[in-house]
Amino acid sequence: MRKLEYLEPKTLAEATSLLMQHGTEVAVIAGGTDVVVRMRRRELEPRYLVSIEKLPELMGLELTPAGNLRLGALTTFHALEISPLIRHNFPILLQAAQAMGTPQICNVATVGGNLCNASPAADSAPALLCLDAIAHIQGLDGERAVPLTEFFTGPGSTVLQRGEILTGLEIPPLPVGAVDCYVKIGRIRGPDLAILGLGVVGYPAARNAPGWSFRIAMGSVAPTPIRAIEAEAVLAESTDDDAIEEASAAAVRVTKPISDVRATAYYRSLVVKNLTKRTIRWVLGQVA
Amino acid sequence: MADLKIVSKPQPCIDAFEKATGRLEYITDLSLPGMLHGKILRSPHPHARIVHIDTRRARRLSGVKAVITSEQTPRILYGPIIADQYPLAVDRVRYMGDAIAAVAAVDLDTATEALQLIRVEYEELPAVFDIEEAMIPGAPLLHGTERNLATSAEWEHGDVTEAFCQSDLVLEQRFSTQLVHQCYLEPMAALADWDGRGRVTFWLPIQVPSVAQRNYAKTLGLSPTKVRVIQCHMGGAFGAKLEHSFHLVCALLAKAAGRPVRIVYTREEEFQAGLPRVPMVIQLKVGVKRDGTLMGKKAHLIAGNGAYTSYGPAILSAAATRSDCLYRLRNVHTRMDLVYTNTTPTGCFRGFGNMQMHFANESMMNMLADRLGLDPIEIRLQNATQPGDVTVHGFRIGSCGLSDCLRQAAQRSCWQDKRVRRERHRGVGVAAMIHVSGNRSFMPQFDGSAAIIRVGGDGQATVLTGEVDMGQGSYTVFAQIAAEELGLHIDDITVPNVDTEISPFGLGSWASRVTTLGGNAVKAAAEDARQQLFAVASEMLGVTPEELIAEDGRIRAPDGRRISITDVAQEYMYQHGGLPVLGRGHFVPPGVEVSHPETKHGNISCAYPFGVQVAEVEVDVDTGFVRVLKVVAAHDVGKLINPLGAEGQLEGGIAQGVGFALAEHVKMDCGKVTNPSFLDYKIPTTLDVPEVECIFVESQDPYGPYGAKGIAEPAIIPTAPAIASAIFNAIGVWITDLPITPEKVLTALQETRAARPVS
Amino acid sequence: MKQKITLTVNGRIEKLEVEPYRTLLEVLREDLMLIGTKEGCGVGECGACTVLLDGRAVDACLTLAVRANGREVITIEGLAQGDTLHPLQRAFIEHGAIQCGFCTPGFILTAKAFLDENPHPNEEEVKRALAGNLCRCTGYAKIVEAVLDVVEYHSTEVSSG
Repeated sequence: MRKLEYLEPKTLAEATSLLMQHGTEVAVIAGGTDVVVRMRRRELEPRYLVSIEKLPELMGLELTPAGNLRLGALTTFHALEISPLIRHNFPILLQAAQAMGTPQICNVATVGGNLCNASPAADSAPALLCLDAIAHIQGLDGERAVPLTEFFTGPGSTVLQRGEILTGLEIPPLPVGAVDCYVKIGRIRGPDLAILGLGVVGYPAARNAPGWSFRIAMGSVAPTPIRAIEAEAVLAESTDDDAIEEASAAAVRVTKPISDVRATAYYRSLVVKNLTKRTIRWVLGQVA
Repeated sequence: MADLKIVSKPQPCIDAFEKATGRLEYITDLSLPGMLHGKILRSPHPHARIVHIDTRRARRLSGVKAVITSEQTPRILYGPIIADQYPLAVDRVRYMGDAIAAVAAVDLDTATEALQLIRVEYEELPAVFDIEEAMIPGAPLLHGTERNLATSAEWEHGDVTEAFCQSDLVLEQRFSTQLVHQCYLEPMAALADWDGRGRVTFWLPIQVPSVAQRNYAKTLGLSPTKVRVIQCHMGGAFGAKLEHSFHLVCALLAKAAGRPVRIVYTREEEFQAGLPRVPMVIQLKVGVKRDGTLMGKKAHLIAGNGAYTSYGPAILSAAATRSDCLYRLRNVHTRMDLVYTNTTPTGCFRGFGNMQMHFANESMMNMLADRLGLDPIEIRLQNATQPGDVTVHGFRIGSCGLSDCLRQAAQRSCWQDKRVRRERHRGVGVAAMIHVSGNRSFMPQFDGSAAIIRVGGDGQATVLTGEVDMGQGSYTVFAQIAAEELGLHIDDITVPNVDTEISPFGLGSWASRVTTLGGNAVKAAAEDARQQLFAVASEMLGVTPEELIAEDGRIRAPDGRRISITDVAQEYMYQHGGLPVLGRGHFVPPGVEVSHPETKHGNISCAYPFGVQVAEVEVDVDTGFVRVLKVVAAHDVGKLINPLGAEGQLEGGIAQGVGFALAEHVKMDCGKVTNPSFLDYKIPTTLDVPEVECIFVESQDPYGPYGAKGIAEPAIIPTAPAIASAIFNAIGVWITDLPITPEKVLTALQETRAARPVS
Repeated sequence: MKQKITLTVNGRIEKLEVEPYRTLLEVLREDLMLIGTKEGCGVGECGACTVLLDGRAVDACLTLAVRANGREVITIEGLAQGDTLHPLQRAFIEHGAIQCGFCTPGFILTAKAFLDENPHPNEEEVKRALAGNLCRCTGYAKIVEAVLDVVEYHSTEVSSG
């Protein structure tokens, strides 16, 4: 018979202490949409389930006085979808939330859970990477901040150490006039895993500069979600047709797509190239 | 025909209330005292010899009440057509998922744990997975048959070689269709219980309860009187829920445990050990005259049986013959091979082989039209089968609305306009289809249907049928017919599920037969019941029975006097010692014959439905994604009995057709299903289905009840070829291997370098 | 280790003791005998097990029962008011949106939660809201029709229901 104890710490400190105490025998559960599936498949058989779902320190969706977006780790995708704050200031996050999964999943799944599960296909990741998000992590030793670009270490793994909990994200404001969007390609129009998740933010660079500031991030095409830095650099110099072509090729170069039951590496590469091109053009067209 | 009051009017299904309130009980909602949970141990190898099975540790686990292997079974081979399977493998396993042992325990967790405690020693054998490779001499043999063939046939009608000589154009193309799963929302399940005196009762969500009773009795080594099948409400089936060997495992477990046992498939088991659609490779060669007249056709069909035989032989026969009968084609040469491979056994899925072959045939028709510069609708009109035809395979066509369907589909879809003046990357395509309403070849002894209608002294009418409602609405149609003929309100009609102890013998629900054959039987039974009621009513009203009319729950004399049917039925009962009115009716389709054993020639159905679908698609040339915008479906149903139900069948069938065409695929790697869940086997959602416009052509079949023919399978058959040719119209590429995934489209576009318009 | 939980199900307070690994779906069906909620896949991919948790549509198969402690659950059995069907139930019946019925409870509850939060959606929004519920029988056309019908004629009833 299975032995499982369900623990509901009241404070973050209590939670981190429980995680330290029980080490590998523990699983953290928030919304549970990843954890419960894995438990039912016997892929995960913890002795203790620590629910962080009610921890007040992990909640919140607000602008700080400095104008940064503070996103608590427990923010559900549904909350992102219905937030006027997100809709007006970070539409890329709205689109990522809408694309994330079924309404039932979105009602319950949290941004924190999505990031800590660290699937290369995580829908919140490309959007947050484009927004230069900073991850705030709490452990027994205190708090530390990690740029999201350094958060993922491999498929299913992050920089979180034993006893640490992701408490939330801090996102700097976008420059005025920035255009941002998230494009997801699945196998059908309905809810699906991403074959490619593409987040793009673009805004004209300084006055009289030739190119644009772009931030391009992709999911499902590498062991972790990634930024296409080289492509961004190309567009900083120029945004003519040749540059767009070169940028999309550069985006492909940074990917390491695999062939799996969902798609072949070949297809993923083609789609990266075509979609990057198309989305860059779209962004440029929005501002014009 | 007098004005119909209930038949031909929209009718929600008669148990919609129970379904909408969560009251309807499906098999997993039933419980028997002492019921145990069963689970099956399945082979992890695609092909292996069983060296030894040790169940001792499993037996000792607390909560386990029975563990069985083939040792505890009569070891009688089972199979609806070819008996080549033991319910529990005897000395060999032939596919990953093959059942070796089974456990019954007090709860699911214990049963699952017990499975893990069973130790099986295997000696792995070489395996073969590809249907063409399996036919090569030297390939590992599954059942010792030559080249792994389960069945094989070849025939010619007319002279195809001569026909090709006379043709102005001969095209040859290879097509393939993939493994797809029916994906009914309710997983398969079975419940069995023995009565302690050697008699077993099954509770099964099953389309063929009477037939299963016979077949299972045989495999259990029992006389049929010792087997009772009670059909459960079904959460969808689409052909998958006919006989299945795990039903037998359930009964054997229950026998060993001495308690009722229920086995419920997990969704993963559905994909690995269900009965997916027969995949096919079709090599097709068709010759045609410059004006579009079809001259001859040569086809080689290779079909995948999987490791054991379910209905593969019949499915292949249907594939090899039916679609030819759509047109006035006289010269055909067909070769068909059904091949064993070490993969999941395949079975029935809506369309029954006819769907796979229509994909090939109708795609080919569109290719021919394109090469000849002819309109795909016109070329079909030119060759269309007409009423009164006897087709090349011996179908005697009574009613036929094919030409009407073609014209109406073309008109309502703005066919001419859309083919020529298209928006970028949009296109339209058309496909037609022919299907059956019943199949005489299913059981040699007879074809037909029967019904008993009991009208009790309380005025309640009960329709007893041997056919099944699996959610498609057949019982609603029966209730409509009974209400119409008896003059009752539809709320006073009940149609209970089949119980083989009480119901007439029914061949079951498949081959789109239930409205035509079952409906006729119900109509006959209702007429018989009405006559008995009229005999009594005529005495009560003092008029002759011929002058009476039944309507609105009452029987009316010409001068307007009325008595309630309840009163009449009650009076009948008083006059007959308590016997209720029992209307008996049956229908044997006239003029049908069992098809020739070798050539499959014969008039297998008394009525043939036709249909045409026009699909409009939009292709995203950056991702290869195909979006089906709209399908205009014109179907000849003979006569619409329930417009609401018929629309539902079309809309649902087309959704399945879209999935088949574009996305669905049970993927296998060396016999292991690599996408055994809805996560990776994608069926259409609300966002994936096109707008559907339904047009019903009523060709008034001479044999159907009120003229009605089937609609259930016709709905799904033309969709995929219509989509494939719409894609060609949009971007100039033909894709002949299903599913037409975004990757295939993108790859094809890369190869042609640019989307070019169709000439 | 069994845990004591208290939840309100269809307006009734239920006190239960459950193992933490049991899902809300199992507890509803097996402990509370509410069989209207169905299991289609067990892993949150089909929506057949949708129930409302504090008014939001969730997959009961992915919800641990212990998580429902102190919260309100509505299943299909809780929708009708005595003999009076909820407008969505009526609309599903009348529009022929029900064939085999297995997916129906999940759809109706998802639609109810959506309309409670969005009383005036357009067709595309309705389709998106229902995209997490799979149906294999109907092709969805009449389901969407039924929901839109309720939007048009019963919006006042729904927002107070």
